[in-house]
Amino acid sequence: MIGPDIAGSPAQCEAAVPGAECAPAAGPDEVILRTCGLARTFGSVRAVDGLDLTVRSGEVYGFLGVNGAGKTTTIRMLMGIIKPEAGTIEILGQRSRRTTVRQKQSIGYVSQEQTFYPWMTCRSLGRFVGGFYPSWDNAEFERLLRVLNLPPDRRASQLSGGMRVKLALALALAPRPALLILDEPTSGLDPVARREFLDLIRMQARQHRRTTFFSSHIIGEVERVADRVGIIHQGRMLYEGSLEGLRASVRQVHVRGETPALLETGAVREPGVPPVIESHGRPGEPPPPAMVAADAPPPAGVGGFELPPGFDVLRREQTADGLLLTARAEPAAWTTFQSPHTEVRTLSVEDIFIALVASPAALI
Amino acid sequence: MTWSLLRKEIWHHWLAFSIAAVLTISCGAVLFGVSLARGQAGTPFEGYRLFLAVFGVVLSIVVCHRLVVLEYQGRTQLFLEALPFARWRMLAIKYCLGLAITLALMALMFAVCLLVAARHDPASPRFTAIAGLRAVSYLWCAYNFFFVMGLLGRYRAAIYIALGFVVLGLQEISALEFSRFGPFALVDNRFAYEADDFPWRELRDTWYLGLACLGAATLLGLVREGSVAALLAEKMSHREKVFISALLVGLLWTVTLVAEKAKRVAFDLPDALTESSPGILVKVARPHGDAGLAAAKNLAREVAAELAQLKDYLGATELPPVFITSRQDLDPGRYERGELEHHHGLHVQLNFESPGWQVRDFMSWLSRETIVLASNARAKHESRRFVLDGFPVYWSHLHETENSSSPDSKLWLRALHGTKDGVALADLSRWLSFRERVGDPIASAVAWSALRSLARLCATNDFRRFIRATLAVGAPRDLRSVLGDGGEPWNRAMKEIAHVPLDRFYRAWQEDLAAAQRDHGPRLASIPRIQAEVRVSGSSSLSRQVFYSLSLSPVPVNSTGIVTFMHQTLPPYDDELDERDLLREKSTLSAASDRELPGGYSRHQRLCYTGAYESPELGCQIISGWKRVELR
Repeated sequence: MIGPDIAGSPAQCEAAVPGAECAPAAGPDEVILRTCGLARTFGSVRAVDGLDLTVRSGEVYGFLGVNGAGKTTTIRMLMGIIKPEAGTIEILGQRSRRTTVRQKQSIGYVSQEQTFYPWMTCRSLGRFVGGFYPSWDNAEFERLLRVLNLPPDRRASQLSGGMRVKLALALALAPRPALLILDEPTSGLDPVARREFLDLIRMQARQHRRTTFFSSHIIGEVERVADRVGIIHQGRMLYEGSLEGLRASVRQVHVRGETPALLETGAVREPGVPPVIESHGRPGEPPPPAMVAADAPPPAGVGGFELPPGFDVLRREQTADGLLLTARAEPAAWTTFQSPHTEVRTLSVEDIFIALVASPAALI
Repeated sequence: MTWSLLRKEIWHHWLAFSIAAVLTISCGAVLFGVSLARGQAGTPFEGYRLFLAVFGVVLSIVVCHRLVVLEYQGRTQLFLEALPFARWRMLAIKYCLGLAITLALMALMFAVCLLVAARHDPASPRFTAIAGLRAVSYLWCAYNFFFVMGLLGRYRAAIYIALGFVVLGLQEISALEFSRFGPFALVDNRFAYEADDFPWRELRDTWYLGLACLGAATLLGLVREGSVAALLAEKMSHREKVFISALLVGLLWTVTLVAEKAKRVAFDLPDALTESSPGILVKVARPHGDAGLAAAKNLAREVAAELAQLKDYLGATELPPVFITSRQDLDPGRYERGELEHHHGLHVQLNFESPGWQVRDFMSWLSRETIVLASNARAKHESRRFVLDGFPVYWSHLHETENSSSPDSKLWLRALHGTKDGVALADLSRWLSFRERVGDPIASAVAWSALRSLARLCATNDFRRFIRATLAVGAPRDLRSVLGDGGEPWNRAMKEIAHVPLDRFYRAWQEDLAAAQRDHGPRLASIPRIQAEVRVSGSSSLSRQVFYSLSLSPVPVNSTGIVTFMHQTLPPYDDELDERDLLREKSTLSAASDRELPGGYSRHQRLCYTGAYESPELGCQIISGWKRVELR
C-alpha cells in the first residue's frame, strides 16, 4: 500500500485486541472508524484481504474501487451484517471483531439497494426505524423530508429511485449519527439527482461535520466530496490518503526516442492490462512546454531506461515516439527528478486510479 | 427494538391475521355445532380434535407464510438487517409472535370445549392436562415444521408435494403407519377420551421432531449470515421450474411404479396341502384325521380348479393365493376372513368338515372376495357394484340347468322378494342404497337375475367383456388407475361393450322376473315381511333410552319365530356398514315388542337399525331395511 498519511499502521493492527477500549483521540484527528487486517472470503474468492483503513472525525472518506473490488463486502462487515473472518473493527473507540448493535446505533447507513417495506409511507418508515435508535430525532426526520422534498404520506412503493435514495438518507441522518456510511448511493440516479445528493452530503459534512464513509466507483463523485480516499482493489487497500497526495505521488514519465528494444526488456504488458492509459498528455500530442527537456538529444535507444531508486513503475507502455511510464514515488522525489529526453506529466485522479487498479505491480 | 418490530408485524399483518382468526373460529364453531347437534360425538373434544388436526395446520401455514415467506420474498429482511438489530432476534420475534397467535386461537377453542363439557360432564384436571399437552405439542410441532418450510422459500411447495408422494409411497410399500407416529398419534381417536395416561412416547417423538424443525429453522435463518434463507427465497427461474416439475413427475411415477411392483410377502401356511396351477395357489391347512385330510385335499383341488376357470374367464394373469384353515366351531355357511396385514393373499377360516358344508356357496363367496382383492377393491365402486354382487352367484350357478328343485329356485325367490316393491335401473346405479333396503343375500340374487337376463341378450364374448370391464380385475396399481379408477360404470359398459341398450335390458329383465313370478308366486306369498320400529324416550335432558319392536306379516307358521334387531351407532361420517360392527339383539317374535336396547345413548346420537328374520324358504335373512335415525 502506498500513502503518506496512513493512520492504521501494521504495528497498531497487531496490537489490536477485540473488545479493547481505544483511548479516544481528541480534536479533529479523532479516529471514528478503523479496521485492521479485515478479511472475508466467499468460497474461493478472497473478497476482502487484510484491509486496513482509518476514517477521522469530520472527514468525508471516499472509498474507491472497481466493481467487485470488495467495497460492499467491507461495508457489510462494518455494518455487522456479515462477520469478518479476520481482523478487527474499531468504531468510536470501541474495538471488536464484529460491529455490535450499540455501535450500529451510532451509524447511519444507506445501502446500495433500498428495500423498504412497500406498504409503509415515508413517515411510517420513520416511525418504524426510529424505534431502533435511542438518538432518533423525529423533528429532524420531518425537516429532512421537507428539505429533500419527500411526500411524507406517500408509500415507499410509489417513490422513484431518486426519492428512495433520499428517503434512505433521511432515515440515516435522523438519528444524528456520528458516522454516515453510504454504499454506492448514487448508482442508478440520473445526473441531476446525483448532483443533488452529493451536494447534500457535502453540506452535511461542512455544516454538521458529519463523518462520512462514502463508497463509489465513480471518480468524479469522490473528487467532488471526499477529503481523503481509500482505493481498494481485489480486497486490498492500494492507497489511502488525500487526493492531493495521490496526485503528487503518481505521475507519468514520457521517455522519447526509438524504442525497438523495449519489447526485449520486459515492457510487454501483462495479460488483462488495458492497452491504453488515458492521460493529460496523450501519445503523439506535443507535451506541455514546461515539462519538455528541450535541447537534450534523444538517446540511441530507450529500452534500457530506468527510473532511479524510490520510484515504482506501475505501468510501461510503448508508443510511436518512445515510452510511457506511470510511476509512483514520494512527492518530494518527483520534485527532484530530472532525466534527459524525458518529460514528467501530472495525471488526473481517474488516470491514477486506472493505473493503480490495472497494474499488477501495484498489488505487489 | 423488540416492540418496534412486534408493532411492525402486527401493523403489517393485522388484517390477514384477523381474517384467519375469524375464519378459524367460525369454522371451529360450525364444526362443534354440527358435531354436537348431530350427536356424533359424546364429547366436544372429539370436534376439537378434528379442529386441531385441520385448522391447527392451516393456521400455522397462514401465519408462517405471512411472517416468514413474505419477509424473505420481498427481500425486506435486508432492510431489517441494516438496522441496529440482531438477526437472531428478528427470527425469534417472528417465531414467538406466530406461535403465540396460533396457540392463542387453539387455546381459546380448547377453553370453549371445556366450558361446553362442563355443562354435563366436566373434564377432570388430569384429562385437561393430557388433552392440553397433546394439543400444545402437536401444534408446536406443526408450527415448527411450517416455520422451517417458510424459510425454504421457493422450494417449499415442491417439498410439500414431494413429502406427500413419499409418505403415500412408504405407506403403500412398507409397514410404516404414520398415523401411529408422534404428532399424528397425538390427535388420533384417543384424544377426546384418554383421561388416565399421558402418551409419553408419542409426546417425546413429537418434541424431538419439533426440536429438529426448530434447529433446522435456526440453521437456515442464521447460517452464513442468513444468506441461505435469502437465496432460497428468490424466485424460481424458468429452467428451475422445469427441472423441479420434471423431478416431481419423476418422483410420482417412481413412487407409483415402486408401489405397484412392490409385491407384499405372500402369506404362507406351513405343512399345508397345496394345489397350484399358473397364477393360482391354494393351500389348505392339514387337518387331523384321515377323513378330514381327504376332505381337505378335495377342497383344495376343487377350489384350485374353480379359481383357474375364474381366472381364465376374467382374463387375469393371476389371482391372489388362497389359504384355508379349518375351524370346527363355525357354522358350515359361515366364512371368516383373516386379516393379512402386510401380506399378500386371502386367508379364510371355515368348517369344511361339517355335514352341512356346501362348496358352491363357498365358491360364490370366495370368488367375490378374490375379485375384490384382485381388483384392488375397485370392483366395489358403486357404479358397478351390482355386478360384483351378482357375478359370483351367476358364476357358481353357471353350469346348472333350470330346474325348480335346484337351488336356482331359492335364488329366484330371493330375487322376487327383493323386487316385490319394484326395481328400477336407477337401483342398479344406487346399489348400496338398494342393498341396505333388502339385505346382502337378497340383493345378490337380484343382481344375479339382472346379469342372467343380460347374458341371455348378448353374445357370450360380449357378456364376458362386460364382466371384465366392470370388475376391473388386474387394474394397474399406479397413476393410471388414480386418474381413472380402472373400471367402467355398468350402464356405459352395457351399451358400449355388451352392445345392449338399457331399455332392452330392462324389458328383458322384467320379463324374466315376471316369468319367475308365475312359477314361484304362491311360495313367495307365504314369505313374511318384517317390520322394525324404534321409540326413543328421554331419561334426562341429554340421555336417551331406545325401545324397539319387530313384527312379521304374515306370521310364519312353521318357524322358530326368532327375530333379530340389528343396530349400530353411527360414526360422524357415513360409510358402508360393516357387518363386524353390528350389534344383534335376538328374541322371539312375541318378546320383540317395545323392548329396550341395552346400553346408554345420548341425545343427538345417530342410530342405524334393521329387523332381521331367518327365512327357511329363502335360505337367508330377510330384513326390514336399514334406517338411520337421530335420537332426539
